Amino acid sequence: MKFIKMAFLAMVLATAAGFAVAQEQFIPLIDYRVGPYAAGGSGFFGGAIDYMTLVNMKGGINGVKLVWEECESEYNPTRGVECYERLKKAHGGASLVEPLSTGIAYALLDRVGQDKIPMTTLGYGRSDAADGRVFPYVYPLITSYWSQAAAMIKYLGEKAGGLDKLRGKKIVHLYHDSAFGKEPIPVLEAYAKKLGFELIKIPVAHPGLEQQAQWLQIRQAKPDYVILWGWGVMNATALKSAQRNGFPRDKILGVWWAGSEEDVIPAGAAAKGYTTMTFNTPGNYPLLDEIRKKVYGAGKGNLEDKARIGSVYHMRGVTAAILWTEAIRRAQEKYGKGKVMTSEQVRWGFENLNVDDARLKALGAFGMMPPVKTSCLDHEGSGATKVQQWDGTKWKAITPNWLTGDKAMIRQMVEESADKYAAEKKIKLRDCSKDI
Amino acid sequence: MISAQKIRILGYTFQSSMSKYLFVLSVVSVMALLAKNMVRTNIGRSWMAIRDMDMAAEVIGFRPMRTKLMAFAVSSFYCGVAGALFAYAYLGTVEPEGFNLDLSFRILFMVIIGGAGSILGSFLGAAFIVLLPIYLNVFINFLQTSTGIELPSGISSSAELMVFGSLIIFFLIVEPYGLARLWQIGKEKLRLWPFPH
Repeated sequence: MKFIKMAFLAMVLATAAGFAVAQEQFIPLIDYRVGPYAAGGSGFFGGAIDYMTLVNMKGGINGVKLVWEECESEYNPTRGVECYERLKKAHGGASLVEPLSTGIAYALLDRVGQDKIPMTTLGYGRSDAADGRVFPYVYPLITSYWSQAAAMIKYLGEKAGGLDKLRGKKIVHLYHDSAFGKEPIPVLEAYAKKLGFELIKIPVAHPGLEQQAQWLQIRQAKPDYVILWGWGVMNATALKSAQRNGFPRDKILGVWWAGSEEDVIPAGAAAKGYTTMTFNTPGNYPLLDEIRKKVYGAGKGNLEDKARIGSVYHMRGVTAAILWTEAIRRAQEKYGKGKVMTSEQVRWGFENLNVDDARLKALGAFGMMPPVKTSCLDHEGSGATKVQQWDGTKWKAITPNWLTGDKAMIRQMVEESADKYAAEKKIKLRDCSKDI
Repeated sequence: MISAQKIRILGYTFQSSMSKYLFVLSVVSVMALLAKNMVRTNIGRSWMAIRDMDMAAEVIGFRPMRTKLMAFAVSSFYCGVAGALFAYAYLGTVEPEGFNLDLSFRILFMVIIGGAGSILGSFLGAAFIVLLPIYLNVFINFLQTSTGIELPSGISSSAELMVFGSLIIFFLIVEPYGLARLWQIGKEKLRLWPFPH
């Protein structure tokens, strides 16, 4: 009897000690796997979970294991805020948050500042959040909508044979009638004035299943290019309507949320030749092979359909998770290797991120994403994008190098807009020269 | 896009979630009491008369145009206050995605499930639509951690929707007059319990 008691006690002690030793860095995942945008949500968060699983299998970040919990937001701001409030104190506190939804990101903007939790918004959200003086806790990493719009004009200029050749040309901005679709308008208008092209803005009401009137208008205007700033089912409909109206698809340039397999496959043959922006180079990488072999080989993969590994959304999720783990790793370099970082420390990591080509090579993801180097002033860290084209079966990058638009102009607009926000909200600007 | 200003009343700024909650609670209690009393006044009774049979109401002397307009105005006022509180105390922004068509449907369902024509019903309906999915989500998570069976993420999300949907259908079949009516029946039955007639 005594022996059993002793053994039991030893077991309890061992597990208790095990809990005490286990170091876990918590990442809440406010995801969506049902509803109209489930294709994006499941791919993105599946990719993030796959990469974090891989990191854990390789021993974590200097021994610190990652732990995450999912919460279904249905892409609904109300649910998203509830998820955030529920998870922010779970497992010892959230290190960071990524909602993959403009609506939820806007709703969390004030809350993350109060709770001192960094929020990443990869390729969406407020473009002016790139200004770290006003938004210390928001990180639109890699690139924002404004940088994207600038890169689009640069690409179209190159296609026309030089930016000055855009003078007198007509460009249609066909957009989802929401905050998302209207976001690039200031940048496009500034370029139209500077380069002298005519900008025709045509809104499409959500969800965008009927676009006959809009394409008729496009047909009458005879534009040289169409920028498709669409979302969800609107994209496939736009491509089909373009085919019906005889508008060449290779003259349509989509936003990156209009550039995934889920957008073009429903359009069938109408999508062939269609080009979009992207912040990942499509293709295969050693890292993806490693995920296939180690994570899916062990039956721990998150995607049900293995063919989606390396798809546009999956790759974006992997990219996001790389940046999260690199930020935590960077924070550990300053605050102690092998320790669990607080959200404040992770914020420092995001602000001093330096994922260069050498680091990407070491991760097996060289070329998959542009190198990212952030600072207190620049929370975006890169601003570089590529253009990809759908050949009927897969995406292919058609610009060999990373494209960036007029960075100085965008920076000026970002600062103006951020200053306006700060004045409205009475935010005291951070002094980037001392606060590092 | 409008970012919501801070809520400041008489020099006090409502910043923490708790203070915001208490603020909303006090506004809601005042407005609910007002509504409860309004239903019993001349206005409330004229609405009921119009609802039950507008021809008969007109014959006994209610002006239908005026009564209907009044009902529209009062309910719009309540919705407006709710929207302002939702934007300022909860979301923190005013942007189209926070106020989409889906939200309008939700409000309609709250009324239908809670029970049209009752103040208690709107509270029950709102709790049903807003809180139930969250409890289901928490419950499914709890089941997973306590049993150790981990469902694929997609399945647990879909299960939540399926259970929620079937509960809506169940309640509408069991009691088409809404949760408020169900509550009333329950109360009456319990009063007589354990010796029914």
